[in-house]
Amino acid sequence: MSQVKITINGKEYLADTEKTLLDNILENGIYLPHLCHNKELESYGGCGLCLVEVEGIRKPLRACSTTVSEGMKVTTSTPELEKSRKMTLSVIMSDHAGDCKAPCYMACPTHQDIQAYVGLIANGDEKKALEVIKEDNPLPASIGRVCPHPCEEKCRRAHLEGAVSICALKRFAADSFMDFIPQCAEKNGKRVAVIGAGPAGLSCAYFLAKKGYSVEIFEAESHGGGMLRYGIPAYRLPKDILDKEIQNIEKMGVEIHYNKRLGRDFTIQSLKSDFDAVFVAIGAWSASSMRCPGEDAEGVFGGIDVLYKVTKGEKVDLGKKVCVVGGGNTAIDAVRTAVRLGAEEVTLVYRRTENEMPAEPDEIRDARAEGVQFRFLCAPVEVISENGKVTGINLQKMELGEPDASGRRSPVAIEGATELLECDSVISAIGQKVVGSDIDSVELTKKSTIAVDETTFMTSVEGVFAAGDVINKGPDIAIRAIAGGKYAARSIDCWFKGVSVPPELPDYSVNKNFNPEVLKGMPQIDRAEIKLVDANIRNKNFSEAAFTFTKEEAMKEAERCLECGCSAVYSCELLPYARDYDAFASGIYGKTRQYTKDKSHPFIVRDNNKCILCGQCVRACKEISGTENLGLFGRGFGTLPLSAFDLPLGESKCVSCGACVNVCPTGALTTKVPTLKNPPLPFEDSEWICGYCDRKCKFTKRSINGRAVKMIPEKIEESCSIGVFLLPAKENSEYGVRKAEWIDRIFGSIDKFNGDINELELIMRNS
Amino acid sequence: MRFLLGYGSCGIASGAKDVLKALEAVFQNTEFKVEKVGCNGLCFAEPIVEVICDSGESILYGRLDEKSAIALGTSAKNGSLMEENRLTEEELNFLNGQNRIVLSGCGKIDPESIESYIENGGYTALKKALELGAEGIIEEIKKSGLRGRGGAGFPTHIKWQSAKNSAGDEKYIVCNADEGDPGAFMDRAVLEGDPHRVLEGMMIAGIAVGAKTGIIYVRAEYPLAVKRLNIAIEEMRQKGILGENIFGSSFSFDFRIMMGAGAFVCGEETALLASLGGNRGMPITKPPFPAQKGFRKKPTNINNVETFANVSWIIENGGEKFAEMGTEGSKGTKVFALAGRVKRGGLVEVPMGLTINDIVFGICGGIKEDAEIKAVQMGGPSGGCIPKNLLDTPIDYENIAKTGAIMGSGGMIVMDEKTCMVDMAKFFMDFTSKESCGKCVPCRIGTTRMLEILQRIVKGEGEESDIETLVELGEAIKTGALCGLGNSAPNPVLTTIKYFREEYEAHIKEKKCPAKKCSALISYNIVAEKCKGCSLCSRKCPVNAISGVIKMPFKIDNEVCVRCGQCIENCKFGAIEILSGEGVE
Amino acid sequence: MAITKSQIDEILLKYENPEESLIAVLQDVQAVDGYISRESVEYITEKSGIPSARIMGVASFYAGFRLKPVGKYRIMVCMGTACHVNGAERVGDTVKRVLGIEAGDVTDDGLFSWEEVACLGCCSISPAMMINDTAYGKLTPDMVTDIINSIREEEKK
Repeated sequence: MSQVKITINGKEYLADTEKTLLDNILENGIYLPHLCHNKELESYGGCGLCLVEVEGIRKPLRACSTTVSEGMKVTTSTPELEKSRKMTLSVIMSDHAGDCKAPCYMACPTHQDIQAYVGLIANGDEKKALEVIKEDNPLPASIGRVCPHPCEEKCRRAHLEGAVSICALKRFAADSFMDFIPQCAEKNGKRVAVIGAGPAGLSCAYFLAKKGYSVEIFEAESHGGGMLRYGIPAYRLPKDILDKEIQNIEKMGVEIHYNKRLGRDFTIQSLKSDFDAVFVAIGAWSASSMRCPGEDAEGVFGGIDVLYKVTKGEKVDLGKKVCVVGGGNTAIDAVRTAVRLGAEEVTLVYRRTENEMPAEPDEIRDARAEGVQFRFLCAPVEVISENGKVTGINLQKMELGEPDASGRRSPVAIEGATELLECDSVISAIGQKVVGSDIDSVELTKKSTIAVDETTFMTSVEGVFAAGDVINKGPDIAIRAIAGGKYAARSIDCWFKGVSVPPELPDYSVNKNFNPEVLKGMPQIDRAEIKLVDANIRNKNFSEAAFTFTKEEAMKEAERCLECGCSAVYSCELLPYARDYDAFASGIYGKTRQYTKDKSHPFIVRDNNKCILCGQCVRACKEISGTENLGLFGRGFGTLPLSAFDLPLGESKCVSCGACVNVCPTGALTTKVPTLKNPPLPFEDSEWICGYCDRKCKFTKRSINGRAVKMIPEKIEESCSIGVFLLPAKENSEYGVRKAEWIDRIFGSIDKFNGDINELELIMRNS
Repeated sequence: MRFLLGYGSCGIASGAKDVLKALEAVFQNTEFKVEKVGCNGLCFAEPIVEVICDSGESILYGRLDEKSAIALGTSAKNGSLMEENRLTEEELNFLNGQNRIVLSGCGKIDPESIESYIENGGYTALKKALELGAEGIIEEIKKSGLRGRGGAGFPTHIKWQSAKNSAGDEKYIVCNADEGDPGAFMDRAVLEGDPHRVLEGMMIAGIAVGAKTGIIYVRAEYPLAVKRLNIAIEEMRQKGILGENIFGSSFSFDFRIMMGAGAFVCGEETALLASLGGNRGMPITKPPFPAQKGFRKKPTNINNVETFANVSWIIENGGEKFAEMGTEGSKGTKVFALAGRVKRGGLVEVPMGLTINDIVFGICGGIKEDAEIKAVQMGGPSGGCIPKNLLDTPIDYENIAKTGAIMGSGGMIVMDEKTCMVDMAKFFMDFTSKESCGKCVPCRIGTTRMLEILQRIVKGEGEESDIETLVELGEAIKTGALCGLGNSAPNPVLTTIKYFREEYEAHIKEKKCPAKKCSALISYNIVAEKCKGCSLCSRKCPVNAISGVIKMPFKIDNEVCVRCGQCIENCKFGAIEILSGEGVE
Repeated sequence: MAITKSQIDEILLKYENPEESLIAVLQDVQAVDGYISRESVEYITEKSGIPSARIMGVASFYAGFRLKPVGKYRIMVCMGTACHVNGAERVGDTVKRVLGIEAGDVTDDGLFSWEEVACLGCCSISPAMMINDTAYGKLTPDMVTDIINSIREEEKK
């Protein structure tokens, strides 16, 4: 080894002449993107990212295939080089047909790692599943009962028999370990006041407590839960479940002061002076008006008011015939509550058709089963009353017109067509508004909601944050309030630390051209629906109407997950570069890959959709393994690393050494785990020494959820007979025989080896 | 009297076999013989027979077929050569304007006879080179200013010197005869018409760098060239010009031929070397240069056919004489292959420094049907389109490069108003993306994305931002691609955007193809006033898109029409027009 | 007739170093068989030790190698620049229409296959195509149809 002096970005370094310029640059801790280089393999020059400028040479050089020489002056970053890198990464991304994260994850407002927890449930590990859930959701048992699950709408399994029952699976995991409390960081001495113990307030308190903040919640009611408690009937969300989850948050050190109302007992201003930061999440509690004559008659109720009173045990006299106006979940809750209160004839009136109803189809179905009537294409025009008491409602008949901006077809009145619906009470369930009069100090929007910055959740007052139904656009579903609390907590943390707030959802590769055809031929497994109490029994009381999955049901349902997201998302080398260079929305697009995943191999999963053709697997197969089972096929855009005759890996001459998996920078080649699913979870690396022979090679063991998935040697010795992946090879090769012998040595017999490389750690000694 | 029949693969494709058969039949039992020679570059007039009278006068007959060949043979037998089929004065300008070194033997000598080459001064340069020795040869080449004729124009003497200086027990001379530029065929013409000239050049290079083996990497698509090279090598062996101690010297040399298998990228040196080693032709980064580590990891000197074909002339006549021709930076002559919408296409060898106009109009007689010239594409898929107003650019490496095109191997495609520049750019991008080896990202994906954008544009699906995206992508590929193929792949697009941006805009904004070429943006229309209702078009239409009643104007159903143009070609009344933009249904 | 093992043996014997001469070996195999079959590749691997992945990598890289059988009449439509300018697209479209198959495929009767090829070097007679060893130039869609139909007629006899 001889050394020379070179200059990198104006600073002098000693460089090793036996190493490439790239390795010298990297070893000095200088950032230089690269995707096809591996110091153990012959240099390739494929990805084109490690371009550098060398003084005296007109064209940029690839650092990976440049040797160093005395006095060399290298620049790793110029506007031209950065532009070229951005473009190169953009074109790679345009041909990288994979989803970093599954569509369900992308759709969930709080971005729960659904694929991970569903996978864990399928593997029978609902404890770990709940841990994963609680990373992003403090109230899974409650949310698992009430969420309208936007995730399921995006589930690709829907192209087959139906979406995976994600929400019910979450409920299963949460119900299984109701006592689980995540670990909190040490107290950092900072105090935050939270106004409102609804989903947003509880969520913010939970995440702040986890980070070590001291949190106190001020709640106007005598119990926590907000809309989850007072807006959702007990037959959907039993109060004890909610209480249990709130208690868990209290156990994390969060203090809740009940019966403390903003504007009455304290102000934002007063809390601001007592605490280091304030978070406002008071929700939206006023039912919207139907804006039609006769609304002030006796027997006209706000939907939310009815639900509130019923929860509190107050008497509500709805009479025998009840008309509920609205198409959302509150309207459904109102009709089903009315049924349970003993009304004989309950009718839901909605101005569009069932297809346009915002309420969940399942809820509509259940309500219908409980005896609710539906009147579609009808809008209230006047509440009719006698002696100040409701006797009926005049309905205007509608038809569907052109689609509006939201894509929904808007209802248009049919002139002259009205009808009267006789009823004893009218419940207006067409939405809620924020009561702005209680709020002090902060700026409000025209809708009386609190105006906050979309990213930071900060109000007009420094150090005062807000989220949930009370901000900007107003009320939304509970999971969005949870998300608001979570991201506000992160923002508050950033605010204390004086750092900028990262985006809620960082950029990910998304397979925009997903073709459902690729699912054809998959075995059909019907979606498991959650079991319900018989309609004629459940419509008479407020006991919980739905059952939690049994473990068998849950595992079977979780098995349906297609695992759309990438199992290598945490170790992917492309993703960070793509983010660094903002290579996601370059406007460059075209035909993309549509290959079927190859799962034929006992230990390796190959997904050529994610291959970026760095050629490392092919070189590793030749140079490390000596097998040359993989080769590059075709040329140009369609080039692929394949085994001869495009044989599935499992039928090829692969000796299962794992060298290809170790070098793959993306999720194109991954370890097949012995479990049913391979939940994408962060990995942990630890240093080990191989005890197979006297050479004592250093290895990095990469494990996920405690299970080894890769054994990455520090240096590759040509003559190593066990391979770097420590997997048993096929028996028929000489290589395989040696390895089989070795496995026999450890296990007594190869038959006892179940393919779990975790087991092989027996001979690894932790350094 | 001698009869020289152009018998290159182009001549054969044009019917030279029939001519040969006819003449041989007529000449049976006479003293006349037909000599098969290589292509003399007068492609526009093939099949061609050059009659050299006993007086030395030469008469060229062109566009022969069986009938006219019989007539020619018969007239010769009768002692008075026929007047028909002679090339006109004007057509002969094609040859008179040229200065042939590389092509000097093409069409003159029998490529399958070493005697014929030697009679014309062959292998004297080799003898002289043996006397000059390595340094002497390189000195002459240096004086000549010869630069690589394959594309990049790298000074030949530096390459040779570098290979000579590299230590190695074995060294190799490789002739790159993988002529892959669509539109260039000078190497084929030389290999088929004068193979010994190339082999002699390679041997002289062998003396210069100290190599004992010459390898010719030739396209498999050139079977005739391979055949004639094999014959030439065999004859050399028999003559003792090949093998050990050539001409009694200490110099030994032998040849091997390797057939390429169809990959344009193998024109790139390192890809060619990979291919020679039995591998996929994927380039590697330089350095190391082949001169240091080439075939079998030994010092290897690679030049293309035309470069080697210049060598014997330089050694024989001296480097200075060669340097008298051409311009300051580009010496000697260059062979160009003219094709496209030019009147007289073929091979033209002229001193560097002439303008494109000189060649297109002076030598080749201008544009077909006297249409308006629009541009000349130079350098094939790696080159660019030079617009009409720059056609007085002197042809040398530097000046051509300034336009954004490159000299390349010398293909010149002449384009008139009927050529759509977007379509042209798409054509080349299609070519390079298919020929991309697939190794580096910028070329593999970048060229495909550029092609897809162009495909969308010609289909009328272009977006306003497309032009900028093309330029940005193009620049990134130029910077980031691994090899010369990728580095130059965006050139046809970038130059057409530079010079013909309005044509791109017309496609994108007005959904109109000004050249009326892009089938998705045009429609066919029968002008009722001109149509006589003869029904010929309707009968010729392959897809039955034309219907009508006899003697009444016919109509074209543009939904069915595949825009093949058969109707236009067959209409005797010029009644069918192509519309684009306005008037498109 | 499929290539025999002894024919492949002979081919391999021709070359001092079959690994380095792999392209020539494959060209020789293709000259007999018309294409490179999986069986041939596996046999070459067996005899020479060159991994099949490498052989297939090489065979799939070069346009000159075919991995599928070709028709008795192999139509090669030139896609060179000169041909393009002079209407090669029309020639390709016509061949496709008349044969009713995509490029790279073989007609059901095994008579024809067609492909687009790089410049045939017949630029002066563009647009051009070759059928087996015969070149046809200055083509119009009419001529293409006639040429293919006359071969069909010939074959019927």
